[in-house]
Amino acid sequence: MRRVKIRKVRRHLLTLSLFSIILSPVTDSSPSYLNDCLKRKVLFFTGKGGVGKSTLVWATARLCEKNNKKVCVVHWTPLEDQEAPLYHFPGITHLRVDTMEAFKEYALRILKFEKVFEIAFNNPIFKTFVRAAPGIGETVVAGKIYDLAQRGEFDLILVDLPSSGHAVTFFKSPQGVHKLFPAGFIHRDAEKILGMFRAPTTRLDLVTLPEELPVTECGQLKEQLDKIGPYPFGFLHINRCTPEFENIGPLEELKPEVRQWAERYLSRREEEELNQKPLESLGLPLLRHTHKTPSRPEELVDELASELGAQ
Amino acid sequence: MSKLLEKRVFLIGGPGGVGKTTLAASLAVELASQGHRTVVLTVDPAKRLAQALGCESFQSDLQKVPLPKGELFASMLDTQHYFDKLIKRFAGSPEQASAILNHPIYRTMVDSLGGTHEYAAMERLLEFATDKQFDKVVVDTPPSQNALDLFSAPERLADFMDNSVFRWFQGNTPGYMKLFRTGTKITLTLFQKIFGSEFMASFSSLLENFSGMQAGFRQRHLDVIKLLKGPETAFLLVTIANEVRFLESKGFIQKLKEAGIPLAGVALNRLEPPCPAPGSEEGAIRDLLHYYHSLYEAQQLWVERFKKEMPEFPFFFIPKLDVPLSDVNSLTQLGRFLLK
Repeated sequence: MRRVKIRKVRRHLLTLSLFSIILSPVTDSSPSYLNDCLKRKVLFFTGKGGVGKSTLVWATARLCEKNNKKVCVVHWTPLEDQEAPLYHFPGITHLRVDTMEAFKEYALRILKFEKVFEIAFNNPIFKTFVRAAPGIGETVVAGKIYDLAQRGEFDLILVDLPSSGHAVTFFKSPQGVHKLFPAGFIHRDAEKILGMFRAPTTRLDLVTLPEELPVTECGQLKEQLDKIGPYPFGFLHINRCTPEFENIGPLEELKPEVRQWAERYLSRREEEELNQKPLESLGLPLLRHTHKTPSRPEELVDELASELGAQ
Repeated sequence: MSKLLEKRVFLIGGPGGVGKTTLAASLAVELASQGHRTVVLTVDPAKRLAQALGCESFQSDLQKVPLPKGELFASMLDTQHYFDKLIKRFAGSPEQASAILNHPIYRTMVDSLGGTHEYAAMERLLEFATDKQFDKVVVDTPPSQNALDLFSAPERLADFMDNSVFRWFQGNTPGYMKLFRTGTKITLTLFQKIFGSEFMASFSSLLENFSGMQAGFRQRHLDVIKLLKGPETAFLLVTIANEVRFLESKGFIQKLKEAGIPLAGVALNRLEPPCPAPGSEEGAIRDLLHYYHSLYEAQQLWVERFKKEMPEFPFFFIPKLDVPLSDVNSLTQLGRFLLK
């Protein structure tokens, strides 16, 4: 009896110390992005569509892979035929998760006879149901990520989540599934997934742009997630910021055709700063990434990776 | 004069974050100031856009926008509110409507069920398009990477509510479908195992509530497609000149083609103005010019790609505003680029 108690206390202490080790770099005033990434097992990235999420995911993957981590990038497309530009980097495993396929895999584990599935899956009503029923797709995808993390084949799994609305449904899904499905396999699995979402080795980063709407949406997303959380939030990335050019000197001395560009620069910097203001109150360490214009997409990933490595 | 002016209904579509809502509002302001009685439906507008139009915020009910010249009405899409209204309209009786509206699965589904936002937008489009009090109708659409998601929403909902789905769940497939019975039994067993019997019973009761409503949804789908293919309608794709957007746009246009829906043009939004390469400048100014020059160069590569691979459509080049959106004037400025 006593032994059990001591063990329990020990385990608590261990959890506490683990917590403090893992959380300290995040709350530190000068967080090291790379160090934090290296301590995690699962990284989720989300934000409004078109803010450069995928590029950031790949840049982070590239950075960690260079630091001897075995990484896997998981790309989830909720709709079957959604297009996404894909990068190719040797040494990084890429996994594209389709909701229907993930469901099939999931169901296979339960019934174990492939023939049975072929019959069930060819039923049009089956597809309609899986697509329409709330949280099912999200739960099976989250379950797949959970399994991937459990198997230990990779040191780090980076998940490129779809845009904000889907992301909220994704994180909400285990709870929703719990409520909606009081019994059944999916009920039991929801518990495990919830555990993964809240583990200290998991991190959730938000991605936005220094523009009004993406910033507002980012704030709303954080608020919605806080309501159903807590989640292990990490960094808030602000992509495509105008770089800073120090000492551009007095405008009056510039030629008119040059001056207009200096003025444009100043007004954009001012606007971006104004747009970013609401992000400061979200309580997450901000990472600003400058707007880059390489000719090849892979170069963009590498440029961002080296910027992240220095942050 | 732009051919667009001959149209009555304008649909502004494209992926998220390309400035669709602002462009839709700009087009509406410009049409109104030309003397057309105009209505604009916006999805998820920024606060600044509402303020630029002189409104504190947008509401789901129609409201008049105070313009110096012309008549403009605006409405914001509130999916939940609107969907409830639709259920009431298509339901056979008030009892049927309230059974659905209070069903726990319906409540969680309105937000997460794919297509409800698109459906609500298409419904309002139909409503405004048939309302003869407006000369011009501008509809901003929910962000969609896939054009078909937008138009097929009513059809997908009808599929979902279809009687056969319910019968199937009850195990009462009609005689001619006997061949499929074995499959059905297996699928149902699978569902029971995964989701549990309580959910299955609850879901089945929701489907039962929907019975008789699918005909209404199916008809709406046909109406939407008819409107989109009609001579009065202009569908505009808004996008940005970079790689990601280029690939998305190509897919979008392909889907439109397959569905036989004509595209009135492609609007390349937020274009950087041409910046010369740095000459004799030095230091920070040189870096600054170099930055804007390379932004422009990178963008032009994609502008050319767009023009080369989509030669059949007219292009509209919309410059990036130098100052933040502040008043109706800046909106009119943008709107003119579409009607030039």
